[in-house]
Amino acid sequence: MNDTPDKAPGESGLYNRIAVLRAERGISRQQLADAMDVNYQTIGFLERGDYSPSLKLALGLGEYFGLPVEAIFSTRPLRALSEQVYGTRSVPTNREEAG
Amino acid sequence: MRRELTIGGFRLDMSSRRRRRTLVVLVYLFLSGTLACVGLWAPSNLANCSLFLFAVFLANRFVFGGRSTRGLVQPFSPDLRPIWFKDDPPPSSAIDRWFWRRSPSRKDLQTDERDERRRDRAHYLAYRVLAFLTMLVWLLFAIVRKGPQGSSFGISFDFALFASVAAAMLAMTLPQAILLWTEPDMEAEAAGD
Repeated sequence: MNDTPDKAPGESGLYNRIAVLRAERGISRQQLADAMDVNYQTIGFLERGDYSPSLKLALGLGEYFGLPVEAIFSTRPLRALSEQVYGTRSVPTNREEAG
Repeated sequence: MRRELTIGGFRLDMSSRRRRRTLVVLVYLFLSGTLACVGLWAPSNLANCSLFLFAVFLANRFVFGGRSTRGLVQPFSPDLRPIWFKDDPPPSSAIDRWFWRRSPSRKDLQTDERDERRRDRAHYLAYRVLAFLTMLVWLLFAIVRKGPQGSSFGISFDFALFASVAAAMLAMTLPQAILLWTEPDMEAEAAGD
């Protein structure tokens, strides 16, 4: 998964939230792969950012999770979902506390 | 790509890239040895060349795949399908059922967009390697023909036949070998769940 900002995007250069979304919904790779009609290995490569999906597969994933494609894939590091939804960081960093 | 190689009822786990690379090296050592025997013995003998190409066919069919429904790599062409799938209802005749039992399931032959992208990339790389080797052979002969003493001699028929058989072997096996060599370690089905 490369949902965290510090993580490199893998060979594809794309960041994604597939692993987070899958974990949230309690779906296995195999179940997601069956729904998308791809090999379960492909889901692993997608999650690690080692494979950039076709537009058809990206739209299919968006439809499956009920989210727009840009909420799943991004060329820039993705913020944590909770941070994006609620806007502010819930836990201050050490630097913020010292300041 | 399949995780397991089935030969003569034995199942070999090929999910690790290291194992697949070892397999590729072993197959090419065997084929190169056979080709060397053909080349040293009688390269212009049609029977010897045919025997060698049959060995390449067997390596493709039972080990590499790609050009058949067996082997590690799934068929490159979607048209390459068995007469029966194992998930079809069993046929009525006993002979047909014998083949049906040995047929793969639909899922076993299914490739997705990533497989197809990698397949295309492997063919592109194989094409470049073959083009480079062809140019290399041409260059060697261009240099030898001129020679330091200005001597000139044509390419012997034996060598031309030997080179074309070697090129045929590479054309038939290189895309699958590149796929087996480059595909990363395969995860178990339950991994990451």
